[in-house]
Amino acid sequence: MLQSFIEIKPLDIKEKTLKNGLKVYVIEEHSSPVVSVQVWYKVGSKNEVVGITGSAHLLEHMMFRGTKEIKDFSQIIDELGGMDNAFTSFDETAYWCEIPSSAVEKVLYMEADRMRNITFDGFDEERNVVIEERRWRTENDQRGALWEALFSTIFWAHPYRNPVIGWRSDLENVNLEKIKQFYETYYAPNNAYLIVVGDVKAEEVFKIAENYFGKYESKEIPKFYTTEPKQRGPRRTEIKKEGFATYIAVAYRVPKASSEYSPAVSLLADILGGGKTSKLYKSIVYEKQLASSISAFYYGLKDEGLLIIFATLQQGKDINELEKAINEEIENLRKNKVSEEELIRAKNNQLADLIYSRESVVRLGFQLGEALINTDNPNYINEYPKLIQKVSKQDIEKIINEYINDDNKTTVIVHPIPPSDIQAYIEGLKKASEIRR
Amino acid sequence: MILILVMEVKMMDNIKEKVLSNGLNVIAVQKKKLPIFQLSLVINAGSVDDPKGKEGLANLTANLIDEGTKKYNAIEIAEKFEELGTNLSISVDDWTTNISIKSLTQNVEKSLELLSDIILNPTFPNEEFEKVKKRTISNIISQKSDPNYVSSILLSQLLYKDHPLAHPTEGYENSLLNIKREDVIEFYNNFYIPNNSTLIVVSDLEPSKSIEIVEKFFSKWQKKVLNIKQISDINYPKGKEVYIYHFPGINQAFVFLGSKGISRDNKDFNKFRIVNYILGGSGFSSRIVKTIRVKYGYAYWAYSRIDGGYKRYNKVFEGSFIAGFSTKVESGNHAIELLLDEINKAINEGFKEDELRSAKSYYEGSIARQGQTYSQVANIIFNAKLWNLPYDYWIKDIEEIKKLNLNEVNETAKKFLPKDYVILVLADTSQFKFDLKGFDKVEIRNFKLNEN
Repeated sequence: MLQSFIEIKPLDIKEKTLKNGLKVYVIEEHSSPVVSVQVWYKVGSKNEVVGITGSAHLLEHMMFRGTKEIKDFSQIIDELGGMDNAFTSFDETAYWCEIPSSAVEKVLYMEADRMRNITFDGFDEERNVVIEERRWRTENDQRGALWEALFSTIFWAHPYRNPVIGWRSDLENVNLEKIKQFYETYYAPNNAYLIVVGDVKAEEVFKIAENYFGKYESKEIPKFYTTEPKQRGPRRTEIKKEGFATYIAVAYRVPKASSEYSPAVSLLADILGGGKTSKLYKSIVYEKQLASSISAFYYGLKDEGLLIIFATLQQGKDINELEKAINEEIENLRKNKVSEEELIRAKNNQLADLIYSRESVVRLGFQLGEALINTDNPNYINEYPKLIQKVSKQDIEKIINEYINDDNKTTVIVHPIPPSDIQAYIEGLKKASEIRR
Repeated sequence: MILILVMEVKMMDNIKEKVLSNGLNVIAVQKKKLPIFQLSLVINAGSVDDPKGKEGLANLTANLIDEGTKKYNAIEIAEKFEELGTNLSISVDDWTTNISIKSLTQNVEKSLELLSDIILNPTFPNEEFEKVKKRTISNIISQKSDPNYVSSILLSQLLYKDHPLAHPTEGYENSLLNIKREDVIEFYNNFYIPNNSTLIVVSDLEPSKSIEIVEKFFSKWQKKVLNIKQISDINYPKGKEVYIYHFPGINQAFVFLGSKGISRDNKDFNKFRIVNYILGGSGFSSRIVKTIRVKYGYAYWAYSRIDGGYKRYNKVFEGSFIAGFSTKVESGNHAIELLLDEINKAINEGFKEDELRSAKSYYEGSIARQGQTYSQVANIIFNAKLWNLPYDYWIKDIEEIKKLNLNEVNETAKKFLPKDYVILVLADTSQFKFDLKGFDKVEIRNFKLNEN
């Protein structure tokens, strides 16, 4: 058995479900007088339809615009000496903060308040803020363009095909009523997880949660049922975008996050492209020097999973050569599989990282939140290291044989359109290629 | 009383310091929370030490340090670290090279054996030198369409002009082409010296045990005579100057204002922290964000920040004040006006009592979060060493902040917020027309790809 030497102590996760369906989880961690309070709503961009894409994220922004009682959420967190933020993804919208432990009750009160009572004041201004965010994050960035093209190529039916931040025209035209409706539909105690990690006593947290969240009624949450059909054949998108870099992403559809296979997929991704020791790095960056960077990672979502290879073409090289080299490495993987050393190294690396991530109450809360969104099982974060330990070479081979093939593959390339000063650009390229000799 | 509790019980359990016979200054902190051994070796070797025309040398040297030793080649080194579950990270900034590992305590000896090998016995193989150099050049070219990257380079150039702080740590493609393998070896020989370095350990081990292990692996590192070449003083901008760089194809204007700030050892530093906190340093609580983002919806990000400068070989360098945002071109002029208004209002009218109260409340509450992670503790210790401060300086700072009154904070705003500054606007000038008045100089420039 290819066991890693690293053992991870299980975490003691205390849980309570309120009558209205709110699930509350507490991990006591007393080494610093600090706490992370997190509310994870089981709603993300996948709950949007065309016309209102970006709503989950826009609503996340509105959650900071105040309720009748709490005008400025973040200012109060600041005054407590804390920090806070939120993020929206395909499957979830999560609100988090890190605060001194003395402030827990106040923050729980505030989180309960904004679960139901936001005013939606300043909607037009916030819509503009989000459009600026889209310009900055996606429209002025070649990689942003690549990411958008990748997901809309892989998914035909499933709303994972829409960008989390939303399509520009939807953001410009969605009205306040639609956002309010989204809030009314999905923000309910039975559609959320409350996570508290740090210097607290679980029993006290349960009592406070009951006080502030217990008064809300549960709601009927619309069932999500769209399923992505099986992919039948390779897919491909090529786009051109202002910039100087050429990027390629190659993605394979693999089992979803909650699958029994996901630990094996994540180890495979590490072996393939997780840093300097990986197969892709050694062959493509180090030996052939076709890419200036390459990585592979497992993107496990609630309904689907992807193994994504992402590379930046080395300046002066040919994108076709790079794509060929990536495909050859995948062929090699199919032929030669993985070695015991590679598997053990990947296990050690992942398990050590799990220990390192326990330094911070926020990161620990994130681990728990993700596990809950994907599996609804808090103990998954304790089971996961054991699942990693158990992965065998045969498990990895099974993944390779079943999922890493052309019928399951999507390739996206972003070609550069150099914005200006073409002459200088060409000189730069010449110089970059001169030193090859 | 609670403060002492935080300091002694929470942030760390124990601390010990020793200067080894080769001059390496070792500080070991015990933090019992997890079985982690974190080590940071900080060398006085930053991009300010790059020779003119060879910008990027410090960074290139650091990135080659783990690419081969007398015993192992580049891939073997990476594999050995991975086998142990040890993370190696290497970074270079303006003033320092920082080589750190995070290891499980059970593997500390094996991790340090490897780490000391790469630091003491690097061979800088020619093949790896060529590869890493080419990759760096490639990355620089690839990033030249990223307005975030380009504006940060241009801002430094405008703010520091011919000072060594002006160039990016990774250098320019032209300057990298000038660097030979011999330059790397020479840089290593001149700067990677134990008596030019500080080593900080934060782990669950007894400090004396940590020091013993460090000594075992680093005492062979040869002490050398350090040729100190002092870095010249910084001449921050005089007057009010605006430079608009044409950057075709982007649909936002990227705006940054830069000026002189103050250094960490200025007696007004904590007051200036409060000034910056209220003005633009506190995210949603700050005036700049409340105006530019919340009220007008002009930007997703907007801020001001200060740094405390640096102190090296007993010479102090003043820090900077920087503010910025990105916004659609149509709102560019108005947003710049709003930013300048906020700065001028702070200078001329000062702040309000409730703003000062909120800022104090933030700093007081934030004590709890300071020493949570192993790297946070290492940073606190490093800053204490850098500025010759006691290890609990961060608590003393907050004690001082709690006593400040509005008058002294407002006086500090008046004294140190910028009256002289440079403004950088990066935008597509076919869409953006700068139409504000009242500056000493407004100049439109083309952004040239290969201009150093």
